[in-house]
Amino acid sequence: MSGRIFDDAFMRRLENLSLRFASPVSSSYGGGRRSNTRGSTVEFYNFREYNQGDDFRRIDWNAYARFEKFFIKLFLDERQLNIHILADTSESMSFGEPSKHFAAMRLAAAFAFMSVGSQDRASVISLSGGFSEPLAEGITGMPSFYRALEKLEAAPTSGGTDLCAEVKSCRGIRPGDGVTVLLSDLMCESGYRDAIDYLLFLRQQVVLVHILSPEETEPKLEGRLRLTDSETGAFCDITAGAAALSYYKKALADYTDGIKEYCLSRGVYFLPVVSDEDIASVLLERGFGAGIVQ
Amino acid sequence: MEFLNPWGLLSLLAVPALIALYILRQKHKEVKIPSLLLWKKTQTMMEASTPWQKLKKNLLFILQLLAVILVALAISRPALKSSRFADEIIVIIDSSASMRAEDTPGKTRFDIAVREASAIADGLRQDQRMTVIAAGSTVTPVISRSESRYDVRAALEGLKCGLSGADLENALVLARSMQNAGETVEIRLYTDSDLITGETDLVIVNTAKSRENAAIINLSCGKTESGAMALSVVENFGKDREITLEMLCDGVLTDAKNVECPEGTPVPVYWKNIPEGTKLVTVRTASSDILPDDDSLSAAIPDDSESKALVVSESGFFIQKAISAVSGLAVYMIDPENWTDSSADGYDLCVFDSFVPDKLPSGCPCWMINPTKEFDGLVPVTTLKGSTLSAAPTELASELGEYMNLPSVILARFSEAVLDDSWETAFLCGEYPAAAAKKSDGRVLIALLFDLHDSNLPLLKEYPILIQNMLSYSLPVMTEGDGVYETGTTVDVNILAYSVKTYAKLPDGSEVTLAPPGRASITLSDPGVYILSQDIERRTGEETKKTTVTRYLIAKIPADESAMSPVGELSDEARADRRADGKGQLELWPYIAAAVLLLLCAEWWVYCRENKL
Repeated sequence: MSGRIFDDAFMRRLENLSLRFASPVSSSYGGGRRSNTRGSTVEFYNFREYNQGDDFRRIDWNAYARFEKFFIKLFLDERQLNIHILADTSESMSFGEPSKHFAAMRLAAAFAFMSVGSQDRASVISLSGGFSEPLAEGITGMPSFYRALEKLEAAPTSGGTDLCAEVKSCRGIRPGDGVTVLLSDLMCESGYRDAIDYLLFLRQQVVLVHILSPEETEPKLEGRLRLTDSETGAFCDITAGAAALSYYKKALADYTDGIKEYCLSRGVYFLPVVSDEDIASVLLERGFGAGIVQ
Repeated sequence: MEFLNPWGLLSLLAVPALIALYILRQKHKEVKIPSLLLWKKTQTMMEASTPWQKLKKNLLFILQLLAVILVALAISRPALKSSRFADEIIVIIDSSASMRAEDTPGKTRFDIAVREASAIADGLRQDQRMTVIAAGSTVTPVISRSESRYDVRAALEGLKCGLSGADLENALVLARSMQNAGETVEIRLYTDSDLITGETDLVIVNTAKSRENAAIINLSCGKTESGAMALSVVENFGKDREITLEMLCDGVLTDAKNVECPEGTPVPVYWKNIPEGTKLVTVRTASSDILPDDDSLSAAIPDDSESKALVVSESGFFIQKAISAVSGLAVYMIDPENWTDSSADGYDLCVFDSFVPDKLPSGCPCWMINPTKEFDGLVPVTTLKGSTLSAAPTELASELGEYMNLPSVILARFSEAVLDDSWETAFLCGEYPAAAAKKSDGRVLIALLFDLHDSNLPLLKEYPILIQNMLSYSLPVMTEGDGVYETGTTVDVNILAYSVKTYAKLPDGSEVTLAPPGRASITLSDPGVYILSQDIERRTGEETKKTTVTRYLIAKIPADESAMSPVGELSDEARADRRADGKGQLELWPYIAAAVLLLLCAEWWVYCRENKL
């Protein structure tokens, strides 16, 4: 991992960003997101006839003067949004310069930071080897964010990838409680679609961040090679030449397009990232453009 | 195609070495990557889009393998033998009897050979020459070094297949002698013989396809107490089969037999019940085969008429015994006192020992031994003391003295005689004639100018030899030998005494006159029976007796030709000029070297492309 995943410059660029969430939030904690429940915010919602027991202070006297009836002014409530950041920490994420894992942790930190800024509640969960493990939970303020940063920086990569099993094993995600950000290279034999479908089943707003390394987007291979899978140990022999690389790029494009199309069909936000890209720029430009951040 | 340097093929050992090198070298560089997910898809796509991908992976190896093989081929110097590359083509066509075999109905082997030679003639280049040699019993250049394909074709069309054997060896010697130094010559031999040859510049085209032939290889007739009988020998050169044989007596079918004939085994067949008076017996196979010329054979039954000789002598015991022992003539002896002019009638030979009749018999040859008085240009003068005999420098000396050791003959005394020019001296005793002979009026006279009792001749082995020589000179048979000849043989015909006409009836029924004029001879071109006849007109007193002497000549094709494929081997002389310097052929190594160069370029290009050099 090269350098710290979060620094002041990075923080300053993300200060005004927050994760976009269009639907009303219905969590039990107060926060900065509009909720369907009535509350005491300054945002007017509706009128209602006075009932016995209502607070006199909420009676709209102007309405009484006009209609000679008591009407109560209703205001919207604001609730806290739950943001689940699922970061793939399998062995395959350790590749690249900087590594995909570094980029994933940097993104996770960015999303966590944005959630703190918008009074949301973030949690970071690592996915590897078919299981999920919380890295940092209950990130609601800067102190907890900094504690989380330390854990993110220290998070190791190990094991294989089985996104569906790993996502299903996440106990903290409750139906309809917020946003799930999935950070992965999606190099998974068992596929990513079941995992996304499961998250959608839980009525999560899903943001899929597909992280690839420069070596994967522009491989620099040549000659007779035995390629060994870092997670399974399986190998295949190839003669890497112009033709092979051309076919590889086509396969990569097909795979990426497939992910994009799938996300589009399911209403999942899709953000492709190369690990050597400037994460802040990615979020500000492509993330903003894709409607992931606001 | 042949390899001028076959040892060069050992270079092919580099092929397994290259393969071993590849197997040992074939190590992949290990690269750890995040996941094989995309690379497996890549591999699937590559194999789906390019089925030869696996081959393409080894393209370098294949190119190198090809280069090694081609280099090995180039070292072994392959060469194409083709008449297209020769300056001159010499075609030898076997025109022996076996080439008349029809392996396919209507087309003889000879026809096929001529057709192929014509095809070569049609393909002659402008600067190419062609020679055609017919190899029969004699070797005949049909056309020599012709650049005109039309002339060659015309010469080939005029070729005829003979009925004799083939002198292939001399034909090859002739062909080799026609080669010019520095020129490439291809010799093509069309034959049906299984020649064993290691020639590099000799192309043998075997026109034989079948061996299914049966032949009557021998037939002889004789007389026994129970009558005439014949012995025929039939041989089957093809697969085992039953052959039906027929016997014809003077052209009339008399008998037939079925004979089991195993392959390659002569089977004797005896024929009896030959009608009395039959002169000619013919045995033939009932069914024809690929070579009909040897399917029948004839033989004459020996004539039992007896020849007689008359010895006029007082004590001619030696001469009587010698003549009867040597010739088989019936010898009769009379005393000189009983001699009359008609005593010699009916005799084929008269021998006068120490007696000279007043008038020599005109109808038969006479031997005059120790003549006591003048006769027919020979005048005895006196008796001289003798010594050893020697040969006179005349042709007669070689005829009468053949196989004799004349110096071993010692004369005690002999008669000095004066001979006129009609006489030819055979032997000399000192410088005087001791034996002489002459031919007059179709009659032979031989004179021995000494008494046998005054010499050691009767005690020597030279005595019967001399008698035989004298008989041969005096009583010539029409032809020498047993009367059976191979086709193509030219037979000299002896003109008998008092012969006025010599003629022959050929197998096809036509008749030709052989003499007069000049010496007679007949060439036995076709197989079959030649009936040779001489009309004899012998004067006896005022009367002229006319007789006809007949002899059967049997011509048959050589036994080797019936065997269809006699195995032969060329002599060293025929091989003498064989060359192995690649002339008459196109060496391919320059082309292969060029191909190797191209391959190496391609290999370099593929290498650069794969490794992005």
